[in-house]
Amino acid sequence: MNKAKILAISIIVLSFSASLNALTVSEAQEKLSFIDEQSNFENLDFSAVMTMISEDVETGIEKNVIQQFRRDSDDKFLMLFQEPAVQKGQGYLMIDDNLWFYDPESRKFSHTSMKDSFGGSHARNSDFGESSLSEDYRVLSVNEGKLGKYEVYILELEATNNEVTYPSQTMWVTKSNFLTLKTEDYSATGRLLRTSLFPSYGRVGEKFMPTKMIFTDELIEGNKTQISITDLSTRDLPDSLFTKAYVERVNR
Amino acid sequence: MKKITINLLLLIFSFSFSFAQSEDDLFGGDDNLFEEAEESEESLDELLLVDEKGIHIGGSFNLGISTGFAMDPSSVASVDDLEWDLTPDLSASLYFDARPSSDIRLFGKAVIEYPFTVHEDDPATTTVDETRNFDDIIYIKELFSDFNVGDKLFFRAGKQTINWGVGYFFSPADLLNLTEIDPEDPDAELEGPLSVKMNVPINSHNLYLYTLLPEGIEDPTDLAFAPKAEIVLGSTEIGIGVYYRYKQAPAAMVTFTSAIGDVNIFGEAVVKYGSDKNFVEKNGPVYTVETYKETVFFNATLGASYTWSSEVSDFSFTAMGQYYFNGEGYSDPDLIKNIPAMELSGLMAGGLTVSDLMNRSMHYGAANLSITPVKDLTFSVFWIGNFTDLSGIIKPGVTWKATDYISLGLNVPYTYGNGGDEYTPESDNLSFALEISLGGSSF
Repeated sequence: MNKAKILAISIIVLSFSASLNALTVSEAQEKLSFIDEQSNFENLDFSAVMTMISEDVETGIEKNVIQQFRRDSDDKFLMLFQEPAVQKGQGYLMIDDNLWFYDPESRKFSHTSMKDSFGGSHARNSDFGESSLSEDYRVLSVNEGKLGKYEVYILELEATNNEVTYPSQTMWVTKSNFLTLKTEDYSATGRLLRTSLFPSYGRVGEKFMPTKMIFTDELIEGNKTQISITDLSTRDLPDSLFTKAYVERVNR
Repeated sequence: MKKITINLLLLIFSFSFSFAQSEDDLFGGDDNLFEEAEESEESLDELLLVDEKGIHIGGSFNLGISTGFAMDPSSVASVDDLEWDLTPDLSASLYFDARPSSDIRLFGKAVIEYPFTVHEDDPATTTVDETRNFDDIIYIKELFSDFNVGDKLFFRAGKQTINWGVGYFFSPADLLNLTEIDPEDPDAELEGPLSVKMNVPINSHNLYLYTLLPEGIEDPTDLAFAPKAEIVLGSTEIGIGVYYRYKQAPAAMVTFTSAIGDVNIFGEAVVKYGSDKNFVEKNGPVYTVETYKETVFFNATLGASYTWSSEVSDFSFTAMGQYYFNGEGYSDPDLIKNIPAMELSGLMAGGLTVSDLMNRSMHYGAANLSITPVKDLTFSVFWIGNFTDLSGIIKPGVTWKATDYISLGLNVPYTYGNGGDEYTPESDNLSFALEISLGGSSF
């Protein structure tokens, strides 16, 4: 076999294998559902402890510890601040389309927006609820690439509604198991607002939960938030946990 | 303590190390992208309801010093005429939170306020306002117990703040708390009564029954009852409640909170059969004090708020406005304004109180606009007004949080209206107040 034949066969094989790995836009749209499914705990309750370190160029480093509880099957979550002392007892309770913020100082619940900043950090309330990428975004394009040692698909997404926090996103997801490694979040004008990295995951049964997240504010250099998730649990939570009564009971 | 500090430093160091890592470092190393998660054996929801130490002590501290002056713009000729004053404001709260088991919690909070001296009520040298009793210095803000039956029926029993209305500056539906919202400090915690709250959550809805034990209660007929339902419909929450106490005006109320786009809206409507207020009536030249126990009164309020935050900077602004229809006000507020001083003394002796003379109009409004151009610096304008006599207060101000423990505020409130109007008993008035807050913190 001469060199030309070997080269031709190699090109054909490589092209074939590439086409096997390649993803069309419509297939990528379906994969968004898969990404949602493997990160949502549809039939399980989920709880964890989040340690959030925010680095702000003006105010320095701040540490928050938050208890997180989720029941994705009922569209419910509860986030309770444990540290620092000035925020202890503050809580976010979401039931269906309603999100309440509880202020232990005034003992009042107030409606708030999923788009709001979470506890003054670079994370958003919407970062902690059930994943709904397939509902909220449509895939505009799919490219292939590499991020570190991982072969990835690079998906460009556009919001399908104005309820989402960011009008467009670029996602880097692994080819092997569609875990999100990185996202870039853009404004309506196409300005890069935030970069998020997800360098480690914990597997609970068939589900994957990021155990480390790094959010970088792209508008103010040096502003970052890192969230580490520990004490993961999928044990059943009582119904009474997702109530205003529970939020009032646990706060100081 | 030393160990905790070292651990925190190590934690922050490890996070700083992660922050400094490049994407290639994070995704190119030998570490696996995922690991089997070791599920926690502990129930986090249970852990939050108990305290291994048995009891937790905490509180807050605040020291503010304000200086400024108030003047009648028409009578002050020069700066030398201004009378400056300086007022210290020192307060602290201390609470205990005992959680011996996940089923019960005991909580108490006391407040201490400066000055720590009691003024004798000497009519010759002091006015009533200067009288200061021990319970003005130290008082119990909250003292209650939380417990439940079968994790279905939740009780809070004791002295407690009650969430009843949804209004921000005005809340006619808040029929239960002992203090009213101060429109100039609407986020301040209200003082609630001694009561037993029963709560049954049903998915996102809630049913409540409050049994109130008013101060000075002597027999069961003095008890008051207030059932309430909170119903969630889509993204709207509706509250429906009733207040009943023997020989007092019964009331029913409806509240709602919702959103139209990014604008949050809220409202309250209250119907009372009879009023607990005393009213002034004028028959010819004669003023009398009257009560209306068999007349229906209607109060309502409607408000909205909007917050916008820049995606590219720390700039944000919040606008909030509220209208209040006070069915227990006077259609002619000049009636109060024109009462001769001698007549007023006689009416006060006849049962009229200072609180009966408050909220004399039927139409009020309040609004606040705050703008944060950069972090820790906020400009604001607060306004409250009586739409009938056209008096009110407009208060522009600026606050700057210099450090975590030092903040400065400057306010220039202007009270406008004619002499005798609700907000200008004497005349219009311009004030200047510089405030500094030092060492305020919670623990």
